[in-house]
Amino acid sequence: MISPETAMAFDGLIESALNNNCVSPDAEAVIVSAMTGKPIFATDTPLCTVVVSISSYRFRIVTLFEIPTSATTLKYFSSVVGAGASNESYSVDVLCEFANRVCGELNRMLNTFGFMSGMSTPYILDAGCCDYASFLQPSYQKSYRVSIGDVVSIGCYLNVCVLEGVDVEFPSHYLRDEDSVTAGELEIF
Amino acid sequence: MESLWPSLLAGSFFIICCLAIALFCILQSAKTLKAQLEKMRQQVEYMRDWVPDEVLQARVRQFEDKIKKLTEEALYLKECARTDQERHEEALLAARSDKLAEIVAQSNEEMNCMREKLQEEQRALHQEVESLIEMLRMVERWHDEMQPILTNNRQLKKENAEFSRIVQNVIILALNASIEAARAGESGRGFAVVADGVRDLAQTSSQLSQEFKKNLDKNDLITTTTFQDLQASGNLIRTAVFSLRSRVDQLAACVA
Repeated sequence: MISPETAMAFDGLIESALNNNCVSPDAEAVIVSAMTGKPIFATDTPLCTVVVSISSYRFRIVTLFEIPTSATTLKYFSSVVGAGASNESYSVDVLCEFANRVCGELNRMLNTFGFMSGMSTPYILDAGCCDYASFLQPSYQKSYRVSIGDVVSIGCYLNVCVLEGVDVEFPSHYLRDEDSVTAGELEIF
Repeated sequence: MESLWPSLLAGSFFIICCLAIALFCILQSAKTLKAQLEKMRQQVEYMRDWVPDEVLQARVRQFEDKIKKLTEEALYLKECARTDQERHEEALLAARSDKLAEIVAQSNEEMNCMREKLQEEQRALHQEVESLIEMLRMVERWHDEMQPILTNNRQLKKENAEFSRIVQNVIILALNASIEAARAGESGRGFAVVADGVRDLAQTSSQLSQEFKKNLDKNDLITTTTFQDLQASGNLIRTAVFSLRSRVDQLAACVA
């Protein structure tokens, strides 16, 4: 089970990880905004879904990234991860590397807070797969739209699945208060 | 002025009388003191005659001898006292030393016993760690075994996409057949019924294909995330187990 405070802490961690890893060297402002329900993109938008799982003893986090496969988006994320030439496998590698960095930071922070956790490698899925996240029976779900400037935006779905009858609590001094939630920052950072 | 003279004469006479009385008293006191001094001198002379110098010197020597003897005895006694104390302390030290040796021997025995137990525990721990590593390999095997499921899921998706394409073609063909049957008029009526049947079947197949695609997407997500869960858990367990093994090795090094 996840308390509202723990849910807010998870929100803070993923928002922070997205903010820190969506910025390219010639960075524009990254805006991470919470969304309510699907869809983040129009149905005819060509999308690619990258999934990464983080597992701990009591819970697992399934993070789904919905990324448009447009040239502009791929070019932007190539500069984010510092990649070079462009071809199909390269595009997959770039998106996987981006997802890997975001979830890697999330995983490191979870370990810092005393949750023993391990991370999987990223995997590419069909765009339609995001619609079935509820079948993972998450205890907590949240979707975000990450906008970088006017042209690049991606979707991120956070799914926290907790074992039934188990509580997941962050140490109280790591939990953020309402003011810092609105400010978009965690107390710990 | 003449009336003061008698008073002055009377005062002078009185003072002279007082001085004469004082002088008399002093003389009397001096006489008494002189007599007392004479008496004391006589007593001293008497004392000197009564106790001769030789006797005094002999007494003094006796006293000195006695003092010397007493000093020697005191030194002897002091020496004896110090020796006794030292002997007592030595005895105490020896007793303590024996006790300590006994404790050390006992501690050594306990330590050896504990070391044996620790070595036994360390061997057991080592076996447990090896079992955990085997379990980790089992998780890795599960992980590997899921790979064909994912591959198969993708293959199913491809096949379903192909099936969907064929069904769409069948629908178009059935539609064309219906058009041709209508052109044929009365003779094509039976053929039109068959074409409509084929088109209905193709549309049902198309719907089934779409449903199948959704199920495959759902299956893909669930299977992939389960696969990833095994992978991530495997990483987590690997870190924990190898950390444990490192600690067991450190313990073994301490015990050895």
